[in-house]
Amino acid sequence: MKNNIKIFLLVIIYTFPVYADEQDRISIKTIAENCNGCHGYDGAGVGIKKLYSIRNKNYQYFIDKMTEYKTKKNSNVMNRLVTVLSKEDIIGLANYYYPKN
Amino acid sequence: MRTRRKFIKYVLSGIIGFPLLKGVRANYKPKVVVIGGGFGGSTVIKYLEKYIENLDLILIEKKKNFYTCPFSNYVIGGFRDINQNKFSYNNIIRRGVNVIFDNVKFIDSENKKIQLNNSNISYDWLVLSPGIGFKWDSIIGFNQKNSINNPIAWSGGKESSILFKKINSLEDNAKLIIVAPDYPYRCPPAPYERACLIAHFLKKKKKKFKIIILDKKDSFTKKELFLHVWKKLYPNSIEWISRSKGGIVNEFNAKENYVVLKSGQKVFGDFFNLIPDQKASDLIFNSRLSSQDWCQINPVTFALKNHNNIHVVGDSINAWDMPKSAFSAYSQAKICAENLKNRIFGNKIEQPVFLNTCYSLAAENYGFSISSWYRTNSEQNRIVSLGSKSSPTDASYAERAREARESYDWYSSITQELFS
Repeated sequence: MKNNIKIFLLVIIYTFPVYADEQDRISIKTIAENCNGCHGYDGAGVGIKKLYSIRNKNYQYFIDKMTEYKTKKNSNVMNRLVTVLSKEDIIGLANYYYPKN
Repeated sequence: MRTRRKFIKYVLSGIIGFPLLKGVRANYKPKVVVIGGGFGGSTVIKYLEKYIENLDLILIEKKKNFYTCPFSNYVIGGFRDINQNKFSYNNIIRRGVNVIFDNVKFIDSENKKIQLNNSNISYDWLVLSPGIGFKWDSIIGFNQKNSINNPIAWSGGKESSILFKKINSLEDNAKLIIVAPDYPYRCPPAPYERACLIAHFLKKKKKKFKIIILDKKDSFTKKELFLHVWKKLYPNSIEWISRSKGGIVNEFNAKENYVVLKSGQKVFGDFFNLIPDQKASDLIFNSRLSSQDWCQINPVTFALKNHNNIHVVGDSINAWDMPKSAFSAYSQAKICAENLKNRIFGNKIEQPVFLNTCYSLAAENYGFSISSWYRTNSEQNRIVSLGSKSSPTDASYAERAREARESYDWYSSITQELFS
């Protein structure tokens, strides 16, 4: 009987949406969708030439370049944007853009 | 004890959430109506389109073509054709969205009905991205009627071309007056970029001129950069008079071509661009959706306060630290679309993060920018900046040219994504 009640309650929990107490981490997808504002839909680049495409690079290049932006000082907009991203965010974004790595 | 309380909270929130599950009932397609096809509304449409099989998605827009506000200053500066800023909704229609071209007269939020000029339409969920309205009483003597001859040019479109024609017809030694509004307003650096690009055009024409910016504020975004480039590119041609130095304009005399400062002093000019203080779109107030100048929203879902089925994005909202810009509207709209979809289908609500990058040109190939990431505070009741960062003041011409190119690429990226 006790077990049946447990199962019933678990079904309620997992069937109904839960909006309370959500303090989750920001998802990598949500971060990436902001990047796509300049890098084209889904990071695929801009126009026929696919300018600023993130997708046409590779996992390691992406991590190296983002790390370089984070550590090197110059006036590039990317230097300014990458400063708030953590190492984990950069790896997360690399996994997001290069899922088959 | 704590676990039990949390558990009860979960169960209750589940029960409250139950009506939302109608979205996933067989044969029922929740009707989502988006009002306003600018950057905010078009982004919501783009990101809800992925679920078009399960949603009845409608865009209501009063104009057949969208003229972007970004890059409208380039038209005023004489180096961009207005048609390059023009986008039709044909591709959105082609992508399967029902687009209704009509004017929204009233939103009946109690009965979830929208009154159009030619018909009425109901909704289950409404997303508003209607833009700004003006506080017409902020400058005495400046009104909708005489603004036809002295266009504000704050919404892109043909007013920018009219302003350019007026600038192009100015004689030598012209005195141009720009009146900058108080915060908050759409596109914070725009009055100052406009001054630069007018100066750029007149300088190219080898005209002598003086631009005076009369400001209601004591500071403005990218101030150090603008002050630096005014000195460097347009020495003694642009003068900024701040609030504390007497920059507040109380009155405009259209017949005799002068403005009256708070001190009573008259400032005569050959050209006026008066930008009144701003508030949310008139539609918000006509529909009694906000008692304040800007819509108060939930920063996680963008649901309008006291109207749970209405979400608002873009310039019409109080977005706390976020400026009113196309990029902000785009970034907010993605979260709004995601969490609206999550609410409709009973999925987990995503934690938001936002971005804004705002480019300004001081001449045709001379640009700089400011950027910031934003997220909600720990109480989740406001959007906070994680720190704005601007281009350095000492950048080289090559770096400025690169940032100018980047602005064009950003524009191509965002408009292609939304309108192709």
